[in-house]
Amino acid sequence: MIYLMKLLRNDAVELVKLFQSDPNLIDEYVMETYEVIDEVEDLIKSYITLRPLDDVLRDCREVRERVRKGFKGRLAGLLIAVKDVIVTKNLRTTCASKTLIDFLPPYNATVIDRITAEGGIIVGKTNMDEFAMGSTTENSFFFPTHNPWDLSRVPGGSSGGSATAVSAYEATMALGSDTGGSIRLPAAYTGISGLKPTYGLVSRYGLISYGTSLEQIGPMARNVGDLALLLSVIAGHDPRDSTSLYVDEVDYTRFLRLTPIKNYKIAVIRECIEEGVDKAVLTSLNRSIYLLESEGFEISEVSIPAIKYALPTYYIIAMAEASSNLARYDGVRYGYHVRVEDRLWDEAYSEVRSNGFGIEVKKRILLGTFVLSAGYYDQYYLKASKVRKLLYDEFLKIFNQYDVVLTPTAPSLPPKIGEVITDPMKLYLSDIYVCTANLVGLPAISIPAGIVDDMPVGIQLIGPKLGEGTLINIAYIHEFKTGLKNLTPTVVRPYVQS
Amino acid sequence: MFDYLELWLERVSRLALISIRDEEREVVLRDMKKIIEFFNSINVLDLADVEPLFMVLNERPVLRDDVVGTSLSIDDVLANVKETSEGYVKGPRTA
Amino acid sequence: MSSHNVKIGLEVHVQVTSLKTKLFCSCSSDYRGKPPNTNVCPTCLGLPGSLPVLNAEAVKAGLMVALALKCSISDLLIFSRKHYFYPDLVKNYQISQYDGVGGAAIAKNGFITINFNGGPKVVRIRRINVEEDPGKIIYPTGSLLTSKYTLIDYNRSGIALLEIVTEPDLTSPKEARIFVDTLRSMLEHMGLVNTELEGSLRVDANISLAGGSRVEIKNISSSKDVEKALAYEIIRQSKALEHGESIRRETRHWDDVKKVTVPARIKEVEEDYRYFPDPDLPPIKLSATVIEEVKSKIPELPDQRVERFIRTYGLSEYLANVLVARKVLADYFEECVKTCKEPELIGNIIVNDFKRWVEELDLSMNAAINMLPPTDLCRLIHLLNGNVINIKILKGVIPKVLKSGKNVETVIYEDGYADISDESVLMRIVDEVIQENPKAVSDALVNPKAINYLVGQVMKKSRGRANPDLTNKLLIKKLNEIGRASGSAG
Ligand SMILES: [Mg+2]
Ligand SMILES: [Zn+2]
Repeated sequence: MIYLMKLLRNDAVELVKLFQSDPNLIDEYVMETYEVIDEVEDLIKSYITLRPLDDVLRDCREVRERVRKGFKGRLAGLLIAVKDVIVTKNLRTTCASKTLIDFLPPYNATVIDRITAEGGIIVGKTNMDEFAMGSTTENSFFFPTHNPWDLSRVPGGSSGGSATAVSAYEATMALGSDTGGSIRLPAAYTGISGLKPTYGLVSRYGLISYGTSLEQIGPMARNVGDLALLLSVIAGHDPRDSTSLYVDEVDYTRFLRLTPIKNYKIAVIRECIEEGVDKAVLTSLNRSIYLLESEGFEISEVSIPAIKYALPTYYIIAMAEASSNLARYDGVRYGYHVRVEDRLWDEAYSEVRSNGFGIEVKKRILLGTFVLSAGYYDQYYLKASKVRKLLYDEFLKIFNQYDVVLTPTAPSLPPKIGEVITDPMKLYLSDIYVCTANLVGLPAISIPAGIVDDMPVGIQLIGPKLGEGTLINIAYIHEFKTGLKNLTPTVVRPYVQS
Repeated sequence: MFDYLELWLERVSRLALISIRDEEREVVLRDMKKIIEFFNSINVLDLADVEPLFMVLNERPVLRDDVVGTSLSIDDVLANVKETSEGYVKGPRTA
Repeated sequence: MSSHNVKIGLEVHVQVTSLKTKLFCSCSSDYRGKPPNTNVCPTCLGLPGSLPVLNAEAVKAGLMVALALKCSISDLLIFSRKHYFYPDLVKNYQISQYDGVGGAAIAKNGFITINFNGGPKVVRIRRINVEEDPGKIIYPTGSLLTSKYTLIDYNRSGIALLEIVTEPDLTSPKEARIFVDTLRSMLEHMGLVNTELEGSLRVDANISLAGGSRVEIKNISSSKDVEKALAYEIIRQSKALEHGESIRRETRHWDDVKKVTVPARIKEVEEDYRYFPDPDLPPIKLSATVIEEVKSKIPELPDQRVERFIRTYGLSEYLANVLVARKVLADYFEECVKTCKEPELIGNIIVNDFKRWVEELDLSMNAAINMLPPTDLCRLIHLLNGNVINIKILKGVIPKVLKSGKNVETVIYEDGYADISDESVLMRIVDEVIQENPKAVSDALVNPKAINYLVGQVMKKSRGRANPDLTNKLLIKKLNEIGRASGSAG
């Protein structure tokens, strides 16, 4: 057995340091990564578009020369996977949809510009549920992605390909997008960390919209340190996004401290542990609670009765926004197309949209159209927006008293491929704990809390507005105490010297 | 059984310009029914006095100065267009 | 016509042409005359991932109009998405405003006072919206009905529009026309809209006759056509009603070539715009400070200007109103008065002759003013005052200038309207004669009597119209100059 991973086992910060002292190591690291990809990609299918090794090596040579000349980019030489919902100039961006099967964006998302400015190298575009609609990465036009811990299970979604690429060492870090848990759920299912930032902290410019008012781009990594590094690079004000917050640049790695910045008060939401949670999940959660308590943190139970309405509220709003955001796909200016000659516009559009979108996307557009339509707006969209306000106020109250809220990330272990996809209620249920943070625009992180039956389990911490530093500080302490860092999923174990 | 839903589906299909294929129809109608019932669960709440929150508030929305920036090159504009004619995008008939 | 109890409401779309960029992106607002699809970016092309960012100046423009139209202004500026599918609409929704649950128009409940039949009339403004213009569809055969496909140019996509909607307070086509003219003049005076630019002002008119349904006429592009389209509709509808037919609620299109209205859509599409607040654009507080700032920048508006014209220049109310109805015309008038006084005479000439001919010849006001600039109009008045020409000749010169593009002097000279007593006109002939007769000039320089030959030549050239005394004077002056020049050179 050849052990492929020598450099790869290092944390990102360590790698960047190594590359600074010996820029030639960048090539070696890229080769190692591509060897791993060669071994595991056919099994897990993380990438829709993997950049050819030669192209990546060309970028890598460029970074190497810059480093030789003194460039100190925070990501200099690191390979980063990008969810295929984020536009990349002249690199195909599909949203895992037939609708955008050949779309070549003429521009970069702001996060991409930020990453490349720091010397990061895009390795490829990762698989996802079509237009980020799903929780399993089975709703991809191309293929489902498999969980590297158990190939018969889903990796979670919709940022499933980004999660598996990171988990299986096919990239050092990744960007996901999170509309209702799409970063955190797959992070939990694949044993990595994922963070959804405060709404407005990371630019949405270049993020192909699904649920505009809910979603953020966020980092995914194998450890909290890497996560903090990538967040530091992508966070910050962007004049191209009207919802962008005026914030100063923050170096989140300064929250990577084992001594807590303060004596944290943590709230556990009673409704999230009372019922419907798997024993495996509850056991891991309880161990984390115990561990955090032993750190001296104060842990209390709080009740938010309205939280049981968060899931339908989230889906009503997300689908309403989706029905609007996806109206533009008509085949005229880009994407899947039918010939226009002698076709009436609504007929041609209907053909494009009916053939280009997958069934889950069509369902969500139709339902979203419904909740906004005359006669139903008040009953669904308006009412959901009022529930959203209730939840928003509840969380404001909680954060007057507590520093973070703790919940499971998912109610159960990752389902088997094909198990939940046929039943929307089962599928939607996986978002029950993660979707609330999107409704209220607050930052939330999922971190590994245990491994049960050789499957990872995650917990979620929700913070107050712009409380990313607090989340990272607690997550870092938790990671150190549990030792749940740089986990090795089954599929790559043969290539690691233990 | 799905009479009412059939009508419903026809209306939203027309508004969204999305049709459901015959072979998908039964499953879609079944799922839609479930999801609408799921949506209806929020109807038990009395929210008459609650203001809606359509988006998380941003106290300082970003505005732009009235300064001309760069536009895309015609090649970039037309690169993704399947049917063009002398720089125009070819579209379907409107009548 | 009034027997039908006509109710007319207008929806006026004006482009804020004073802005340098589009409403939500930094593409140039100057899209006219550019090759198709060369004035677009990801945002105004609606590319996946692109986002809108509001032009701050557009907000101020909207507020200024709201204030001028005496509207109440919304506390929050909220943009809503209006959904419908059409090939000119890049996102298949238009970012607009919605006066309903979750939305707000920037302003509502205002009014404009127009002058109709010699008296004032108040027309209520229902609301004002700030919204984006769609792209432009070109029909390859020239007709919507016969084209097998469309050609789309997105250069116009995203241009800032104000949509100004009236209550159905107008009762005749003429009144509608005056309303549009009054509104246009207000917008011109605020410096927001150059209405001479093609497509910068578009009107949709709603009209109903007693016993009929509301009919909407789309896409009328001038106040003149507003009157024509509405007059056409009244005749069409009243005929139908007289024949016992019913008028159904429909949308019609104004064909400005054939001057008729035609049913706009073969297909009637269900109207359900599914408005909801655009989550890409957080609401903006319209603070009292901003509103005050805009208020302080509102320039003199037409009604104030009319008053000033009456007070300062002693114009009749009629003259003042006609002049101010077009800002360029009122500016022209003031420029002329500055040069040669005589406001009443100038006002009369501009309104009764200049403006009439501009309309008759279908010229743009700006082009006409370029042909007869204030200095030239003043020259005519000067000639009139010096009894060189009479008022009848003056009135005759104006259309000749506007038709030929020749300047005043040339027209007067060529047409033999006058004894040429005007120095500058005569000087031109004197110069020509001196140029053409070098020998006679050198003779005259040594022998003063030889000047008579040159006088004769000037008379000949002017076909006997040159004033002899002045000719003599000018020739002597010119010869002296030449003499001095050659003397000092030698
Ligand atoms: Mg409009
Ligand atoms: Zn643009």
